[in-house]
Amino acid sequence: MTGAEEFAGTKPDRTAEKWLWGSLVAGLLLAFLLLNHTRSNWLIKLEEAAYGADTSGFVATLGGQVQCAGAGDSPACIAAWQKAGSPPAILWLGNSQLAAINRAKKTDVNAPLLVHQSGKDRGRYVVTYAVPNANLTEHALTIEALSPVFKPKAIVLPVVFDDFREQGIRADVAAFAEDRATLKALEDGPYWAEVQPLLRGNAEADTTQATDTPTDQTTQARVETWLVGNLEAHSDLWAKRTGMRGMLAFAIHTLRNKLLGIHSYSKRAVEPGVFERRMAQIDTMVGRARASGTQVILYIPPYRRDIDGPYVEADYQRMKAGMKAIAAKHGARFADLEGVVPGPEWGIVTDSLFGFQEPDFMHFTAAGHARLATAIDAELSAAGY
Amino acid sequence: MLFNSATYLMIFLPLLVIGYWSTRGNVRLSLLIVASIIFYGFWRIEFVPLMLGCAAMDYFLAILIDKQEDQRKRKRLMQVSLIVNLGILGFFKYLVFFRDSLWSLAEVLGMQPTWTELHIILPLGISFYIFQTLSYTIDVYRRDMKPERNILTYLGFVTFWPHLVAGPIMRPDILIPQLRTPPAFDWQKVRKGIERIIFGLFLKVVLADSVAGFVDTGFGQSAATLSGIDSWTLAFLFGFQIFFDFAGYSAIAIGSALLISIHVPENFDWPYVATSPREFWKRWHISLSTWIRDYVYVPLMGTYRGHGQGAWDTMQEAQESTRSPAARTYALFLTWTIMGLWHGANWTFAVWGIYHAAMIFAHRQLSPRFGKGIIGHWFVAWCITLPLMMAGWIPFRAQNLTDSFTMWAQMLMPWQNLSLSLSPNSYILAAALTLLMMATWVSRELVAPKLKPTGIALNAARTATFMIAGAVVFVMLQAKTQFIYFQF
Repeated sequence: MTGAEEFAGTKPDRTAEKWLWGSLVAGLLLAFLLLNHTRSNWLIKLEEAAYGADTSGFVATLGGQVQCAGAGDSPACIAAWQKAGSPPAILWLGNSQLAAINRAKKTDVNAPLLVHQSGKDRGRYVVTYAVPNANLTEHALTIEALSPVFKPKAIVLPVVFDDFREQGIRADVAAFAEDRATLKALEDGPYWAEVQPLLRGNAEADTTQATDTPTDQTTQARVETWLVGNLEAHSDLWAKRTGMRGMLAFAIHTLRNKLLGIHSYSKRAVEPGVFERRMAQIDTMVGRARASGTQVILYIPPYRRDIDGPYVEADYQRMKAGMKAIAAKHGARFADLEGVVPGPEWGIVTDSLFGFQEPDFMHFTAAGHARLATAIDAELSAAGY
Repeated sequence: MLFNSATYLMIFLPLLVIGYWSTRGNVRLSLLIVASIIFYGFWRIEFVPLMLGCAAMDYFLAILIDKQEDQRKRKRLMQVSLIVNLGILGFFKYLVFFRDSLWSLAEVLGMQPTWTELHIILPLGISFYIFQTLSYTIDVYRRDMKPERNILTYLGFVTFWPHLVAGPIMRPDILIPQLRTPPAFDWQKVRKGIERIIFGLFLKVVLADSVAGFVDTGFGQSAATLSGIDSWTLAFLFGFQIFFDFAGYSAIAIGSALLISIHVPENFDWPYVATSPREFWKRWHISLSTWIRDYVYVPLMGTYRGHGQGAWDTMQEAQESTRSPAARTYALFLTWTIMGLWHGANWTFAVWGIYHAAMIFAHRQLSPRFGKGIIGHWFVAWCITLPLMMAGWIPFRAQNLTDSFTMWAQMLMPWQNLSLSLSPNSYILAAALTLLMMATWVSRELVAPKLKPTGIALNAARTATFMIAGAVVFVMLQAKTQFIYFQF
């Protein structure tokens, strides 16, 4: 990076100097106007942007929170269960398919709430932990953290083929491992070789990728916290930087997809090695739960079939067959719920920022949620829950 | 204090610049010193006396060295400076490392040594200010410069905040004259300073911090699960991260100094367009590589010159070739091992240094034979140099030597394992950054100089650049990360 003269390639004369100042001042002025315009007109709701403009997040509550995402809101779910008298619990894990409703109306509810309601009628307490793009490692960590608390009679575990490619442990799930007992269980358990490097990566990222304000107690941190707090309190433009930051990331994500021709229906191959590792991971998870006397309902979640989707069919079928075999091996229940939600009840992803539309292969309407709830409920009833 | 904090950009820097131009003489120097100490003390105030103590010792030693005519006594005094400075550096930076290494060796030999656990905190910027004060006493000893009598000017040189914690390492003969006779206020320098700060922040808070997440996650994975493609991707990603981070820091340092009309030499010059390992090191961390060359490499080769022949870095490179090949090779490898260990007390850094020595050595041996053929073409040479330099970052960033060698082995035979275990965005980002870097270099170095300085095209491009950089920096600015070189 060289100076502006180098930028221009020559040593400037007086006229050139004026141009250099002019372009700097004009650039910064335009930057201010752009930011101000963005703040007033273009800001989007980030939580909606993740699902698309037509799909809304939904958190099931019934006398307390019965659906959580990770360690952050888990105490609310645990408190609600304890408030209900700690009845026999069923742990349902999932991704955004459970947590979001397409074209939601005010009175709509999601599958976790419906299943919780019907379970309650039978004296069972269904609590759901659903986090967008949840992967199997995160599910395994969640089970290790929550099993000693809820002592679940059954675990309902969807295996989303799309999430086979997902990896890593997000901070909110990794935070479960901050509990000493959970960490000890992880260290002594079969997942440690996979989980440890991911937790270490998270810890490293935490030291460099913290929040808006440094958390250590140096003078730097204290003064910065005070200053940023004041700036946020007195400047709307400064306060909205977090929203603009998210919007910028979203725009780059969209730009990447457009440049590389990535669509919701683009075929997404799963690496053979990753595929095998995931299958082995599910085998361990089911085997471990069954060995402790917990029933497992392993299910293939609803998948849109009215149009050609993103799964490589041969791999998908291989995964389904593998799931069935694992369930049989450990005496778990297997349910193929792929077809329970018909085409019209699936959603459309509308880009919140640019308005691009694409078919949604993950989220469906409240009617779809009702169908999924009925199917899960039937499986639980058949299993004696 | 972090350059990428609101505290620095909105309070410290404006107040200091206003104060600097409102005062003169010793008041101005005192202001500069106090401000620099506040800047340093924002991290840990308890290490300020150590820095000032080192500075004071070298101030008095340099005066004594200059007064002394007896060559033996002069040498003794210089050796005192060397021993104390390197002793302090050794205690804080290398004691635990050498203790652990000896311990490991003893265990290999069947002994079971015991030692009390040591918790030594590395003072911020110690490697930088020790090198600066050392070069001062060495220059005075060699009569390349007269010692500075005004202690305020001298302390201003040592504590000068832009270079205090992570360089660029400034030679006394560059900074002291500017503090002694301050350059006049210059609006164009102010403009250049603002521009450098904006671009430096862009490199740090937008690029480096964005890449950091991918790098941390990737290197956090078990090295055994990474394929050759993964390892290459991580090498490129970290190569870009550390460049953006350190070049960003250097740009903010240079820009901040320009606001008070002080010239700080460039530290980076498009290192990843280098067409040989040697050229790479003329473009990367220039202040350190020239320091090491002048104060370690050249003396190790036994190439001493007469007194008072000016700064060492003016020495013609041709002089190097007068030494025997064996002396050059010995000096090369030893220098680079020292260079590696300067970065950190870990064998991974020593391996990093030896790797670069090997690259430079190989280039010396091979370039006379192949330099004129197709390999001599700049594009081919760049295509060879870039991945070699990126591969060198593996031991610099990996957790340990085992991980480094595992990743290098995978990189040598990428076809043996074609799996992709990083997030898809990692691969896209590594490729995009390589292409963007080249596009930026072509537009800045080849296209922009051909445009008329007062023409619409160039100024429209500049306006658009400042608009985008200014807006994105404002949105992304967070004091959430330190600069990587703070740990050295």
